Amino acid sequence: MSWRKVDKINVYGYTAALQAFVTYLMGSGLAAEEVVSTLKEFGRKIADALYDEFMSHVKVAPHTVTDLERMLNDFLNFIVGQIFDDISSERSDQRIVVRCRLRECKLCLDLESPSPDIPMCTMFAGAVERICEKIAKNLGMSRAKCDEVKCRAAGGDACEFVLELTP
Amino acid sequence: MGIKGVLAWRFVAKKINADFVRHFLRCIIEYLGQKYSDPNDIYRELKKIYKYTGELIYIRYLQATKRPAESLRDLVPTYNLGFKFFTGKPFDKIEYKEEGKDVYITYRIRDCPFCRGMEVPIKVPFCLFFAGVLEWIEEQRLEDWNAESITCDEVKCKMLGDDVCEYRAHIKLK
Repeated sequence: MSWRKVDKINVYGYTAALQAFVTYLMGSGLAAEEVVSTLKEFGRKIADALYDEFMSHVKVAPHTVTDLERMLNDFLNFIVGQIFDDISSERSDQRIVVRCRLRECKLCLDLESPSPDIPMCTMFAGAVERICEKIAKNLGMSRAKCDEVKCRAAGGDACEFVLELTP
Repeated sequence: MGIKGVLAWRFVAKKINADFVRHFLRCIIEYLGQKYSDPNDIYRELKKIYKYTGELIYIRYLQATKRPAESLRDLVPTYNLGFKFFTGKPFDKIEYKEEGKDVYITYRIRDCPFCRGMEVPIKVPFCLFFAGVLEWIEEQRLEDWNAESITCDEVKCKMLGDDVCEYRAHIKLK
């Protein structure tokens, strides 16, 4: 899949709108966890809208953990033209856990989260969660959960996402 | 659009998937649609969010360029360059009109990068983003323009069935 063919817009407009929206939610009285769940839900809706186009680039849905790691890199590339610096996976009968780290994340470029409890790339985590929910059965699983557990915009040294697939 | 805009977009701007951003903007409208039933209330809240976006864009990125418009007429090329830098496309047509103490600048685009390919059931102008950003930035310059007020609104939107997206800035001079 080629990032060059993706229709693009300046990331600064996106990050400024994201920060403005998060600040608006907090100003409306939402607690940090409610802001995070709102962003997660947005990400899931975005994934529903982009799923067919993204999967047409991936061509074959993943059937192994190696395929899954490749798909996660493809998805990040599809959104911002980057790939993860590190991806590691553990698989057992009961679950698959994938950890992805990105040091210079464009999704939160120059952002400072208004709360250390609000990772600013949560929408991306929501989108990953929804996409993996849709392909989980290929890997013998049925449920997916993805969270951004560290974010540079919230004081982390990198952005880190943890994806967990369970039966 | 001059070579400056083309080079800035191609080599300086860091980019993100435009569909990801368009669906984020759609989610914001749908979120507000759950809170407010009147489209005017949704419009007002969207404007608040995008004016704050304008403040952040100005503080983080535009202040550093140190190239503010030097006259009201400069708002024509300045925002055309800005639009190109942020979306990759210039406006199709910009009109500048003075009527006594009122100055109107109309920015028009057919293939709008904010709403391209989108569908939203809520009837509010989708591409208010640009209007909110311009309004906040130019409100900071009322004294420079000897103006009482500056507003900018999206007066036509393809998402509402119009043939173009159109923004109108109204500068009311003292």
